[in-house]
Amino acid sequence: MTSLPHDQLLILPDGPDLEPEESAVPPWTVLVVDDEMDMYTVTRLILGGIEFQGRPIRLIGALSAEAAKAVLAERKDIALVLLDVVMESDDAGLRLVRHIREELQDRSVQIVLRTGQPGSAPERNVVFDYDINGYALKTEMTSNRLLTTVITALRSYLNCVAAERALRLA
Amino acid sequence: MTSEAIPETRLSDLKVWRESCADTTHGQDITARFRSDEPPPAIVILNRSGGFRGLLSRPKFNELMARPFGPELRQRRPIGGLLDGIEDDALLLPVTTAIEAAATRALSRPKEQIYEPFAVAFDDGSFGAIETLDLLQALSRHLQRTVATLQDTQAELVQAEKMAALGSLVAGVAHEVSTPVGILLGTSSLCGELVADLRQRYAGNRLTGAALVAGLDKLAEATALIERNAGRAAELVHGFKKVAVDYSSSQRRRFALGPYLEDVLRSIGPRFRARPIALSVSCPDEIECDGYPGPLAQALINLVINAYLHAFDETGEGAIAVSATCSGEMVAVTVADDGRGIDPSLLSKVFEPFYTTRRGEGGSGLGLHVVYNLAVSVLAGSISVESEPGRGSAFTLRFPRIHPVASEEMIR
Repeated sequence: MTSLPHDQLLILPDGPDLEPEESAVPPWTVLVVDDEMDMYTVTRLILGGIEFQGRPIRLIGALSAEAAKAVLAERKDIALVLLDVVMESDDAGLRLVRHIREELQDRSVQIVLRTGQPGSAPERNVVFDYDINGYALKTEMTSNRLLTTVITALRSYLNCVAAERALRLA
Repeated sequence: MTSEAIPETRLSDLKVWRESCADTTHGQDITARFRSDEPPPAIVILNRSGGFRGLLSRPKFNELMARPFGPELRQRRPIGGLLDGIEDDALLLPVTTAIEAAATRALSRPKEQIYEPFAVAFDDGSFGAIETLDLLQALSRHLQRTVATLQDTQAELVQAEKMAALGSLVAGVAHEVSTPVGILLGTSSLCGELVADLRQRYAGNRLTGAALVAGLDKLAEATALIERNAGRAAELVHGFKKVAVDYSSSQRRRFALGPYLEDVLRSIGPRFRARPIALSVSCPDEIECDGYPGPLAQALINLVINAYLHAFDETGEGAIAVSATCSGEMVAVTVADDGRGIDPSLLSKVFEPFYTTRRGEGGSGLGLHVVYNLAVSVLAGSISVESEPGRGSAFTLRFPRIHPVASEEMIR
């Protein structure tokens, strides 16, 4: 192990710049859709305090696909949806994917499925049939895996937004 | 020829007596053949060109020979002349005829000829004879085998249905467990990182009080999450294990009915969260049973899943109520739903094996048949159904509170 000076506790006094204030930089908004409150809590614990390209991550939780629809109808700044599949119905999550892509016509927002039951939404079928950007099993989501999934998704979101803007200008 | 190892299906599988002679043969030669050490039951008589002329059984030959007026003379005459005096045509069948078809033909002969042997024709143009008794015995064995095969097949299908129900139980529990396990994985790996981060800051003399407090706060929250979700996973696994062990075993034991019904329904609860269907249990506290809880759980699960699958439309709300009562020594467990009900014309069919309204959609038509089997042959009770279209259905399982059979190993 390391040779820490155990006899002497070294804790620095708080500096003024250590707690991030509400900054002018807009945060990345990530929508967590899961009927398990604890799933939201663990996501918040893992992503809390993380910054990407100087912008913090802000989470919004929705406990059902219907609640998520209401959130999506109101805000246009959502970069990423972390989405459970089985909620109020066996395929509530998959229906929400259709809703976002077809009814809301939102091609930029990144959608990553986080499912607990691969049997009801097999990876191959879902990736082919639904316009999603990632697929993960709840039982393989370590904190690192979640972090890398979120960061790569945010980067793709930036690229999508840039490409759309370029198309509009052209 | 009648070896048990090779199932007989055609006449060629039976004992065939390949004795034949030309119609010019003298009576005395035939007498000699019927008096040999192993006499044939009949001899095929061939015409001049080697074709089939008739079949002479021993009783028929003796009868012909014993006719009055000159038996001595007949012994020295060709047998063909004697055959002309017999009006009936012998039954001749290809040796490849199936046993059932041959028996039908043999038994449709005139009554006085039913026990006569009959002739068979081989592909090479030769002939033989078979005793009708041999055919009937082979037919009986054949039917026994057929019945046994059918019973085995039905038992296998019923078993498969039970395993399918267990499979859906496992799938439900697997889904339910994966959420707390996923949370455990995410949280515990986060704890490792928080600790590593604090250690690094401390080693580099960069640990501030605020960072320490923030780290500890996160660790505390993570620990609470771990504790709560580990508890949830353990509870789910425990509940499932209890039901699954009962489900697959046939142990007799005493059990309190109310708590047991709740355990069983909790184990299938996950299936119901996906739809707005309320599942309730009511049972008086004091009902204590002595019998086989496993089969009871199977029957109950099948009834509830049946209601879940058939009573409601895809999105509609509904309720399934399980209630139990005990009067005298009989227990009644009722599974009632407030769904669409069952058409009166179908009501009598619901317990029949393979009856299903969902053929091609995964319905095997065995779910309620399994319940019927369990109720009658295992729980020593009965099952009944009441229903009215639009007003729901109620299935009632009645069985003795104390199972009448003492044997431990009555159920497989």
